Amino acid sequence: MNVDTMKLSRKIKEIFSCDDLLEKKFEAGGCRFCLMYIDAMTDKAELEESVVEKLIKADSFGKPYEKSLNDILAYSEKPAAKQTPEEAAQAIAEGDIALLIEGADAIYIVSLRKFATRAVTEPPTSSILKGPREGFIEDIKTNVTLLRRRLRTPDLKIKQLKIGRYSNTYVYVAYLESVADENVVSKVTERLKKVDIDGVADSSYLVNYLEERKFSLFDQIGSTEKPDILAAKMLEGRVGIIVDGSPIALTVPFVLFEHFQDSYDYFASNMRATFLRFIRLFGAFFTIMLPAVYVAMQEFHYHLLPLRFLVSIRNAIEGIPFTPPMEMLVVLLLFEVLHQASIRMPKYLGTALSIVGAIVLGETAVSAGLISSPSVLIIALSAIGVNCVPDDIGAMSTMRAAYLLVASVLGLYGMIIGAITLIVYLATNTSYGAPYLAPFAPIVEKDLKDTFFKANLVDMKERPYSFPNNNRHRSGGK
Amino acid sequence: MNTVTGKQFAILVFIMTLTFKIGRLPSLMADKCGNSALAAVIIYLAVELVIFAVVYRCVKNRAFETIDKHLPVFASKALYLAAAAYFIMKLTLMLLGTTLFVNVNLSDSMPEWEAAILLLVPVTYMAVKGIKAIGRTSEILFWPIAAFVLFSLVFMKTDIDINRNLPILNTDIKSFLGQINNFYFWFGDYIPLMLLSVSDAGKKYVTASLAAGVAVVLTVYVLLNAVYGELMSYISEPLVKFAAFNQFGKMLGRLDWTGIIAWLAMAVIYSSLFMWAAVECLGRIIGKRWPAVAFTAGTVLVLSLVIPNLERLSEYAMSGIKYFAAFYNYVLPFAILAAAAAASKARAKKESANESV
Repeated sequence: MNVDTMKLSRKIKEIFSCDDLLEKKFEAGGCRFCLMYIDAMTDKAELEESVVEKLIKADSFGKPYEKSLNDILAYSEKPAAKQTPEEAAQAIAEGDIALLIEGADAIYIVSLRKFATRAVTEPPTSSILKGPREGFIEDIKTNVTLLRRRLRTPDLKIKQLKIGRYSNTYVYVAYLESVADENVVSKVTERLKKVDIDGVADSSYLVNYLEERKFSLFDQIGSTEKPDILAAKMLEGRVGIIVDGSPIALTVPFVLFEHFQDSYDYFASNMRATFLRFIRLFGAFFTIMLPAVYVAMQEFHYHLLPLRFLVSIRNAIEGIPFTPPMEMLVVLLLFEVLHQASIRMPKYLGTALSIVGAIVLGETAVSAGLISSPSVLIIALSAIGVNCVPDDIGAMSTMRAAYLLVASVLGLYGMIIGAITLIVYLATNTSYGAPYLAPFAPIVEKDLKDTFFKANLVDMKERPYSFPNNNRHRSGGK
Repeated sequence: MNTVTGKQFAILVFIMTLTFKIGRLPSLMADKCGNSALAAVIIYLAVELVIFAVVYRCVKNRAFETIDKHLPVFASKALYLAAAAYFIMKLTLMLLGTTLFVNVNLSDSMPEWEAAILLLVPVTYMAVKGIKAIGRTSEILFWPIAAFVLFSLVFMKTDIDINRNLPILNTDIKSFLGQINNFYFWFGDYIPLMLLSVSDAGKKYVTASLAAGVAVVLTVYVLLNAVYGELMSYISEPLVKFAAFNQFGKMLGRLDWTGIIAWLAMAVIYSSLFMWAAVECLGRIIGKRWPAVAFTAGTVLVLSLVIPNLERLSEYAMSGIKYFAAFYNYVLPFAILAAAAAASKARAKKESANESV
């Protein structure tokens, strides 16, 4: 290659054909230079100080240009060399600077990226009473830094991949070499390498490529917005996947019980953690089953209700024009609409909509005799319960509706059959070698210390046996 | 292949010991044997334990694997055919019994065919998914089952007179033997387990679960007699009845649903194990799994739909066909053990012949 700055810069402009591509030409040390970069992706002050000024003030600049650049630039990375204008354009699109030197045998790439990113704050979906509050952001380098601050060991390995034909998104596969199972690592890497997609807007795009069972209602890949949780999971032998542009890191293998664990459990006392895990289980159970049980009892099995309770409900539903299943479905549908609206509405309408939801739905509809207050109460309890396991809202909401339909038609019998079928489905799922219902099915006794009854961290000397890892010893020994 | 862990095996043993012995059987035994129902069930359980020992030996020696590899094909296929026929027959009867249970306890407005088809859904699904699914599901369901059974028995509140169980045998031996010669279909529940192998020792769990299962069965019979006395022949599904007489009933309402859920869960696991065993045997005969599944499920469904009167099911099971069940319960396990021994001998002969060559 023999760089002709005029021709090459024209070529690169042709490739881009957009107005935010900037070009700076100057002469220094007897050479002609041309810098090309995207406005707002480059640290211009640093560019002036570390590159332009250094080149202009250089005593001499000659071949080999790579050595000269190394010696002159106040820049910690060795400039990369690209051989084609297309490669240079790709580098510019990623936020780097193309340095064209007349007569050089390559196009040099200098990386002085500066994007606007948000500050590291507590993630809105993972609030905690006690413990670290840092959360991942959209910048992958910051995220890796947050992770490295918690795993300060050369054993932490990061494999870099670029996925997306147009987005060229950086994806890092992170793992502890002496802990993670190499088969899991290679399986994850191979699957990611096979991803052929236009662009990766978020890590959830990759979930579909990583999961083992298509069309599953339940999560098969773990996710977290917090670096302390990611580090803790990697210390147990999981593999982390961090995606540029996404604050959500993925983890594999994944077992269902992870939804019921929270980082707060490890910062609070064991008794409290045990209590909270049972509360989450009850919350999840109420979310899914309560509306269905209520409908089943009213429609088919009212003789099972205590007499006073039955009288109370009968009085409350007197005059309601809908049948119990229809009424519950209507209230559920209204709630789901309200839920969606509350997520998507502009923040300044929040108060108004809350009032509308509470007064119109709650108060007025009940007073008008269109729906009964027990139904509203049941759905409200169910809606609150769903937030006990916030990572599984999708599956639980769907199961709630499904069980409601089953209970409406088949009563308690249908619900029992449905529950057993669901358990069979979950029991046959696996995630990268880990049975989905581990450590309950199959029973892994050693892992039961960190399930509903949480043991002391001192007693958890070994890494989980529920999924493959290289090294079982957590404390003491190798 | 067809491997379960020691704990899963133990749980399956518990469920197989318990399920259909505490359904309609107590009332049928009381009807035939009067006050000697407890003696009858003790004798049957004692024989059942002997059969279990044979079954467990087959499991430890991987009898069916040995038969597969070293017995002549016609012999092994004949064994599989015989076993499959029994499994399908027993599955049909037990499935129908469960359907009757559902109609009586949960919904009298649901047509029987609908209840049967619904029940076949999880049973077939589990059988198709294989023994791992059955084992893991039983591990999950074991806890609520055990909790409900204990809750029902421990917090039962009713008038109990243990002396109603005495005398244990209130008739002459000859009459007694004639009376107990009716209940073979409700036993022989361990036979499908012969198709399994166990991945770890788990022996202590098996012993404990067997003991627990037998203890619960005997406790149920003793309590039934103590509560109902001579009316025991009118009482079926004792678990549900005991659950209804609960100290917490005033607070929480009728709690028979705890007994219903526990028994229904056990019945589904029990039935799925029999269906899986039938599919395994048929699959080994025809060489393909899906036709075996379709045939088994289809046969069970058709039989379930054509039997006109579920109430007469028990009479049918205690008619001449009971000897068929007796043959299978008490001859088939020994036959398989003998076949496995013969196959092992054949293997040893072959290996020594190869060595000498």
